[in-house]
Amino acid sequence: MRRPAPGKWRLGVPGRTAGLALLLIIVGGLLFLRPHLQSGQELVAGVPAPPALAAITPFSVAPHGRACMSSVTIDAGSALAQFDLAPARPTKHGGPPVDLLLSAPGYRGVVKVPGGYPGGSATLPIVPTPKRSEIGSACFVDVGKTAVVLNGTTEARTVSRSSTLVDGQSVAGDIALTFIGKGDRSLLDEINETFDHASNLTDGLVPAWLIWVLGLLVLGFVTLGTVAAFYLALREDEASGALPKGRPRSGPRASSG
Amino acid sequence: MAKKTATPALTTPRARSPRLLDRAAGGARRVASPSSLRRALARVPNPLLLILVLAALESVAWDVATPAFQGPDEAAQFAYVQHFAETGSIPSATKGTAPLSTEEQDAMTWLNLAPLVGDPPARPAWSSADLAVWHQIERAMPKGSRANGGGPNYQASNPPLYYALMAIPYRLVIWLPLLKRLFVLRLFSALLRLAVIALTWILAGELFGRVRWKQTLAAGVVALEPKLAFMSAVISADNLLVLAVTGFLLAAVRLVKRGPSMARVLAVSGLAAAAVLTQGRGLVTVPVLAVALAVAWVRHRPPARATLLRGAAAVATIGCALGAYVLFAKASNGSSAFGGQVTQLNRGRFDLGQFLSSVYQFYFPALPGMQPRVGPAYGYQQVFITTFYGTFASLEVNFSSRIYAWLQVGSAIGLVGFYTACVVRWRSLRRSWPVVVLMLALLVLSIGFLQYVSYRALLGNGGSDPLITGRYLLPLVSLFGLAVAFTVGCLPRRIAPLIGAVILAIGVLLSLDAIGITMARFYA
Repeated sequence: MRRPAPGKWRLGVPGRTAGLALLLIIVGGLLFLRPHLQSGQELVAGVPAPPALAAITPFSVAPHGRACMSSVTIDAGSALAQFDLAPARPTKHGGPPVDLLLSAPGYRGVVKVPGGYPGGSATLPIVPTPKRSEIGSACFVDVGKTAVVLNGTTEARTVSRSSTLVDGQSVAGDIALTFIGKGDRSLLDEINETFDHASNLTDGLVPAWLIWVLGLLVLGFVTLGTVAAFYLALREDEASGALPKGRPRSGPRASSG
Repeated sequence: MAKKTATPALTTPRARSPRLLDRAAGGARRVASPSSLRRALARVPNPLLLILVLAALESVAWDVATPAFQGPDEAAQFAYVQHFAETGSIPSATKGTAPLSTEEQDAMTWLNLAPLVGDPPARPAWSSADLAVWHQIERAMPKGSRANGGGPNYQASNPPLYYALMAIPYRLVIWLPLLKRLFVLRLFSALLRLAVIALTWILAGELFGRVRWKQTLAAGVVALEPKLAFMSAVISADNLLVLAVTGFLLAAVRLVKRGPSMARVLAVSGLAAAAVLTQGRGLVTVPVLAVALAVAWVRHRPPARATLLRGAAAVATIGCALGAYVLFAKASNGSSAFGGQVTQLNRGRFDLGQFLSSVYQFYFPALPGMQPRVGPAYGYQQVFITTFYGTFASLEVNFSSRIYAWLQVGSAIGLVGFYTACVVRWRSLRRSWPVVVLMLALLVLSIGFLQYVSYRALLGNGGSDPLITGRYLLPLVSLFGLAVAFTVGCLPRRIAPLIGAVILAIGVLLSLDAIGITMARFYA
């Protein structure tokens, strides 16, 4: 049997085990977690009113009529608006043109839906895009000659804080509306915004920079802490005889303590 | 003369050392001054200390990743804590006009936290503009806005122990605004998980002797169980129930191993009482307590007078706990004891054959001629895999189906390995029969109780909701960690630590993934 030369460093059971754990975590992270973070996708900039979970409620708007929601947050970074609409009655010309007017202090934006659509989900650009988040209103204006139906919800579970008026009349429920960010971006690209959002939901108790620190600590410490804990446990067992030391070795053991 | 021989540990003779845990626990007994605290901390073994630190970091990360009131039933659970802390009484399960306080209700509404619950496309109102308006709303709230959530609160059927305990940190941070107060309260709740991890370490030492890597594996498995980590950062009575049952198990193991001294009987029955006073599911500790006392009696044969005295002490402890709660509930004009949780179990016609068939079909495909199981297609996979390892927030955040498939395969391999280990170590297990009987009693009675509850619930609700979920298995999480450590410990010594390392590495990856997908669901 070939024995290591005196003084030559050699891994024991604890070292080999810790090494395997670390290797598995790194390889597993690269295989499973990294693609998740790096894959491009449409990232949500804000959801003033989510769609219904089960029962969709149609909100009908007459020609030249309007449906407005108040207390809508127009988030900075919103590039596209997403909502469901359909012609109130099927016609060969499709649905009427609709404008979505977004207004907030210091901001006016519009989303134009050209007429002729069969119905379904529309994801269209907001012009201009808002520079900062403001709370304002969102009004769907039917600028065509036929009525349009906008999908929304009256489910108690999905109704948001907004109040909705259709042609000046208060109605129950909301028209589902989502704002999407610019282009396909990965979670890594959006990590600063993600941490900002999380920080706001702690009322600033955990600032975004601290979430960065926490994230790095969790990533590093959960990984290395687990490996180190197991390594130290094995070292202690090796020293106490609860773990077989394996083949005798002539070189000095790395701080067998 | 009573026998005093200790039950042997489930390990090889060389590795036995029952002193270990006494030393680990001994430090905790003398926490009186900063210097004794330092000494106690210095006595905590380094591997455990590392696991506790990483578990604490995980809980903080979960607290950040989960917006307010997005845990299972968290809005109602917080409302219970808040009402108790503000008024000193429990909310009503059936009466009242405000399930939540004005403060909580306004936050749920303005920050879009209500539509966020369980609805994946929804997002909270997360901008600084929303936060600024929320501050104005908070400042304008009239006096009493925190104390007016008297019910009906569907969580008010829970006994009050957890809520009374959480009322202490609530009062300490009452000056904080709501979101900050909730964040800090969750951190206090997370301390319960750290205690569960430490108790699992001690339990592993009690069973395997001073074999640090087995203790680390058992405690590490508990620390890296993603569902438990998630739940630790949620206001939920389940957190205290998990701790009470784990503490109960440790006290019961010591009872059957070392004999039924009055202190041990009081400790184990006190912890059973704590479980009973925490959640209706804690009632399962009462029959397990009876088993523990019977096993301890058979094993150690104390004199008749001592038997009667200690048995009476145990019965009195449980009886006092139940009585105190009934009196408290009446005095607080609250609901009846357990708010119908117990009486609910007796609704509908119980058919033993149908129940057994239902349990069989929970685990296996129906045999020819068997009546279809009552309720939806819901079985061991949903309870023991999907919702035990995963399913976060209000059930809408999940690992990918591929991960669940791998977890199912891994769990099946683990189960076969556990069975093989039991066969291989049969003689050792027979020698340790008191501990084995006790653990089996806790496992079988807990799962049997859940199966029974699910069956009765399905009869009562027309088969729409099987009621049980993997979260309800968390009180058994220490058994899970111990089973993993036992199984791996039975492998050949050259590969056992390597398999342990693989299991911990998988736990790390699952934990990090779980926090990441939850953060992405709510904030991206």
